[in-house]
Amino acid sequence: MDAARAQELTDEELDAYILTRLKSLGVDLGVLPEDEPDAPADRRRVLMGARRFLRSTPQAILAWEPDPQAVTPVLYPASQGRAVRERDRG
Amino acid sequence: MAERPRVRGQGGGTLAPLDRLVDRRLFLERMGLLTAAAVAGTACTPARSSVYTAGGAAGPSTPSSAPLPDPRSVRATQPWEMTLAELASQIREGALSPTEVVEAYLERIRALEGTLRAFNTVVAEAARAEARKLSDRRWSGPLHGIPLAIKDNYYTQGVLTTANSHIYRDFVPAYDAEAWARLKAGGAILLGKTQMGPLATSRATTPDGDPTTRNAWAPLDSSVDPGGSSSGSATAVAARMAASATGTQTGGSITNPSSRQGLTGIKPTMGRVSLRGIVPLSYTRDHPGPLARDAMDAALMLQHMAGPDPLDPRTLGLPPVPDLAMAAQPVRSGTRTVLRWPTTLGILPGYLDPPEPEGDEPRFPTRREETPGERERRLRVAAARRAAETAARQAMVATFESLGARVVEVDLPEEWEILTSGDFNNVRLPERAEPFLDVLRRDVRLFGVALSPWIHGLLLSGPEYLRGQRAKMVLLQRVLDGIFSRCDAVVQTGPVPFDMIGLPLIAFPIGFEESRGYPLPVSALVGGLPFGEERLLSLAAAYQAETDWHRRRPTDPTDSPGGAPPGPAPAWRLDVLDVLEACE
Repeated sequence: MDAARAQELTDEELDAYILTRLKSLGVDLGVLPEDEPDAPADRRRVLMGARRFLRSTPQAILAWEPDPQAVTPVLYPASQGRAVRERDRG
Repeated sequence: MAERPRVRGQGGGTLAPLDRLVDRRLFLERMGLLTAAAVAGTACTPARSSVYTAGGAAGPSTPSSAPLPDPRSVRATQPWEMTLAELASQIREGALSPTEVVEAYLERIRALEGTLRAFNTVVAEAARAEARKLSDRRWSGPLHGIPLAIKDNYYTQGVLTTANSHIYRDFVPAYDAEAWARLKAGGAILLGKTQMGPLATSRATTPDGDPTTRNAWAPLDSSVDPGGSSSGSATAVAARMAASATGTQTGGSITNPSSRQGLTGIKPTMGRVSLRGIVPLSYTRDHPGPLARDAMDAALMLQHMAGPDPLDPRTLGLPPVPDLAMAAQPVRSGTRTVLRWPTTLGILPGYLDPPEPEGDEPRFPTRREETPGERERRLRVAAARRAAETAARQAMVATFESLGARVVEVDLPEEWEILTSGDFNNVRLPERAEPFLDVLRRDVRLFGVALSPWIHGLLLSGPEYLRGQRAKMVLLQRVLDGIFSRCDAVVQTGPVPFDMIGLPLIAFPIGFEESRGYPLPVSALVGGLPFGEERLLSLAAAYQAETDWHRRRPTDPTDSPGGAPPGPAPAWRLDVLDVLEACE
């Protein structure tokens, strides 16, 4: 699915995905109040934030396409800085 | 490591800064160490390497040879008015005892804490007992008898450590965080644990979002951000309730509160300080570091905190910690202050330009619509603040030029906006969720207002996470090949890009603005090369030798016999969406 089609997913589809994914991991949003503005968190706002996240972040990241042969995934890039400069000096 | 060459700067011959040294052998050694650990299946808990000096109870891995101030030059009369370095010189000379210093700070906390709410816990009796012990001992170094405030996500043996979260409500660690253990080994005394954003997310609030800590420069106005998430640490140091403090930074949490409260805060290179014994937020991006009154104090703190920890692989295989306190010693040439090392300072496009008229002054509560009058005031305040910031930036750059810096405009690397965007910043979120999965399964309500980023971390899949890690390497390459091919240090307008790639950042005050009718600090944020802490400290120290912004302190809230009264209760609280926004 391309990014534009992901944007088209309905709230209901995304909510179903979110709740199913969480349930598969054993995480239950059902303990939160449904819609309680004075509560620190409720299901309505948590799902709203999650939908916004899913409509943006995964597509934005995967839309960026580096050459996988040229770039390795690195957890702590700063410590590689010296190596990068070594590489550039041949 | 190869012997460090000497360079001749304006201040005379001095060891070359670590950031511009390239040592192939060091890198190969590091790779060899990590490979060996992986083969042995011990990558997470590598055995002690004989290559490196173990830290911990031994104190700083590299002792400093920097001189302390001449005790006769100290003008402050109260212990709490002195910088850490000044206090150290007074204690060394016997002019002050650790007991006198601790009592002075406890009195200060008694007087101000009711209004400022910087602390979660104050351990007065334990601090007194430790001070008595140290008063009877021979002076052991610059931290001997120095009272510190420690962020409440650092484990402190036998002392409640809550991270302002329901999850850690009753947690009393059995051991000290390595960074705190090193400070303690140097003679530092724990005054208390400081307020923070829940689990190090937003500005300091209770786990359910009620704001706690005030900005020391605006004690009666809760809408003035104290900076987060190390809010209490910043307020404690700014209000002179501690000599210095620790913080952690994943997305600006050391440099933002330092900037908001006129402090010098340094976020070191990833791995420079051990994270063992600190409540995790994002294990590839969490950085411990100090919030201090000036560059020298920050250097003395970091000198002790930094170094390899055999039980934190992120700290292993890195260059040895240099003499940071010496780097923060201003250099004089005749009657002038000069830079310790020849330095080119990079300026980002637009950094010195007049500000845009529309501002981003935060508003509370975010869920209520503004009235036209409120909006007009918010934008007017923001515009005034930005204008003052621009003027302060221009003056700061001129000061650096007068100190001998070469100033150049540098271009942003290709795809900067994409690679440093909120979406790529979100790549860190699975790192939050993973260590807390058992808590998420138990009861999501334990996360209070901080819940959403942990939920989002469960929704990001492997391919996105890995591509995000590739993006970090690309960003690092472009920053090194682009920005740092033209300069040695570069101004920044926000912490996230250098937090993502683990490069060091320093914040220090460069002026004040009065958009609200009273002074609030304006600060600069400067980034460096990997392990460039000493250059960043040297730049801030030279700047501070020529300016006095860092010496100013906020006016105390009115004291009364029972201590300063609480300020007006905030008419707002953060909720789960506010914290999400703060995290983005």
